[in-house]
Amino acid sequence: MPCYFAIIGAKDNPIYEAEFTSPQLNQFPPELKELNPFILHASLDIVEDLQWQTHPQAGGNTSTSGGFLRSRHSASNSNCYLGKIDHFYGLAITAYLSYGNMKFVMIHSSNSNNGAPVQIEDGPVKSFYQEVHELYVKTLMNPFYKLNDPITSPVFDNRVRALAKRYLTR
Amino acid sequence: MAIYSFWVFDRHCNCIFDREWTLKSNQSSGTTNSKLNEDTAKLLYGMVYSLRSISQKLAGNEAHNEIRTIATGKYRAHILCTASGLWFILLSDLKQEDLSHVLRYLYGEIYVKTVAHNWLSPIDFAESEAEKRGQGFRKIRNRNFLLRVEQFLGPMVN
Amino acid sequence: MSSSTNNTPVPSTSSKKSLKVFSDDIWKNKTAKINAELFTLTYGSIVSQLCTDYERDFAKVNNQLYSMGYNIGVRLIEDFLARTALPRCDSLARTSEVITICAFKVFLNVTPQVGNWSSNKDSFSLFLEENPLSEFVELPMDAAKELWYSNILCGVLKGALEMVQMDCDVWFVNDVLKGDQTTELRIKLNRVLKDEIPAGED
Repeated sequence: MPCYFAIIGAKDNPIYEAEFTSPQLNQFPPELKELNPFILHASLDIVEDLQWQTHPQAGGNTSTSGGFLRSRHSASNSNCYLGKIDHFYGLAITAYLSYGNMKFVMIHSSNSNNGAPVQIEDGPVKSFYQEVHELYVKTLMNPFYKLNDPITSPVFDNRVRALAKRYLTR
Repeated sequence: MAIYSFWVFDRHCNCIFDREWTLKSNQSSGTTNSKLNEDTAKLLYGMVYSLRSISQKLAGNEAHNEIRTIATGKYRAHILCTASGLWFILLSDLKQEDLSHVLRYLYGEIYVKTVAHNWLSPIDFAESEAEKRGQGFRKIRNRNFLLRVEQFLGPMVN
Repeated sequence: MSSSTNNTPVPSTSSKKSLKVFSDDIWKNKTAKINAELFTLTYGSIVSQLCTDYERDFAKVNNQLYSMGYNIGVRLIEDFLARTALPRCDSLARTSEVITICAFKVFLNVTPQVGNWSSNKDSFSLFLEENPLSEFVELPMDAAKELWYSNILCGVLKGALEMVQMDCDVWFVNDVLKGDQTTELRIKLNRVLKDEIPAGED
């Protein structure tokens, strides 16, 4: 399925964005493509809500493991993954939050045009986020990269796209 | 065990530290960096310098024939010459056969840690050409160096 | 007056293999370690701060790194000699072994390869397969041409060699950060300096 992925900085500034499609798959319709950044930004409020929640949500959102703050009780970064947080006309939106308050957000579109809601496979999506997070940390270790600056490195871009191919657009 | 004095010479043939416990000029166990020692330093340097070059010549083509101790009728001089041109010399009584481990400690644990690793201390004590070739007068002044030398060698003095 | 001398102060390190065993032991038992990321980040922040302070005049940054390295080298050599108790080298080939097998091992835990000897044996190259200074680093576009990111190493070698009376030129030829195949550092011996002798002795 085609996806639109972005990393949003602490001041809601985008520092990286990418669209993952492959020739065999559906593309984002042109009129929707332009809307992607807006849809994505609209869901940031939800991310911030989840960020400060201390208890798992009752019912509804089954894919999330609950509030981000719960993660202080667990050593793993599995709580960084917030799962599906929003939807917009058949598009699904997932998010991942780093401890440094960087928001990793992605729009998933469905393969078919029948309007059926997109099914998110949490496993691979979570792995994708975790590995991108790792790449992001490595970028942060580069002394020439400044926090909250756009990531322009082609190496980073290539690696993220390789991960997308492995986990998302199979 | 008796140690009489401790000397350090730098790569410019200057004495950058001396401590003679045998000088009884004041009531404490001796004086540090005494003016009186300047001539003694030059003579000591000269003696080691000459014997060192002779021993190296005698070794022929084989390099690294470093002099380690010199014994006279009254004392023994223990010498450590580093590849960087520093000389550490201890004068002791004749009973001390080998103090090389003491010299190594003075170099590795005291000089390196309190002088070489101390960025605000000079590492080259000659500040101009005129202070090279044995003409210098500057000494190691680091308190930590003086203190640790005293702590380490003090108990061995007598 | 009697004097005693010793022909081979460090007999155990005369061959290349025993030098390696000897150096491994120093690295394992006599060296305080710090976290690799902390080390890399510390050096990285120095370089990137210099780039800012010199308004991205990378030639100046290279020089500054070099002179910082030089000041480290003249002090580090004492640390090195105190730990290893090695005597002066009798040939440049021996020097190349001591630098790679011993010094790089003890201070950076890497062992560069020696190669590209000049025909008159007065210069050689060190090939760094891994460089602990430059992990995570990607040079920005404007720096990729001119900046020698790890230039501090050249200064360190220059300073340390000068203290054992070897007047050398040290410079980077290639760097993988710039897209080269290898990271190559060149050392050329100009002359062996004479030890000073007291005034009036010559």
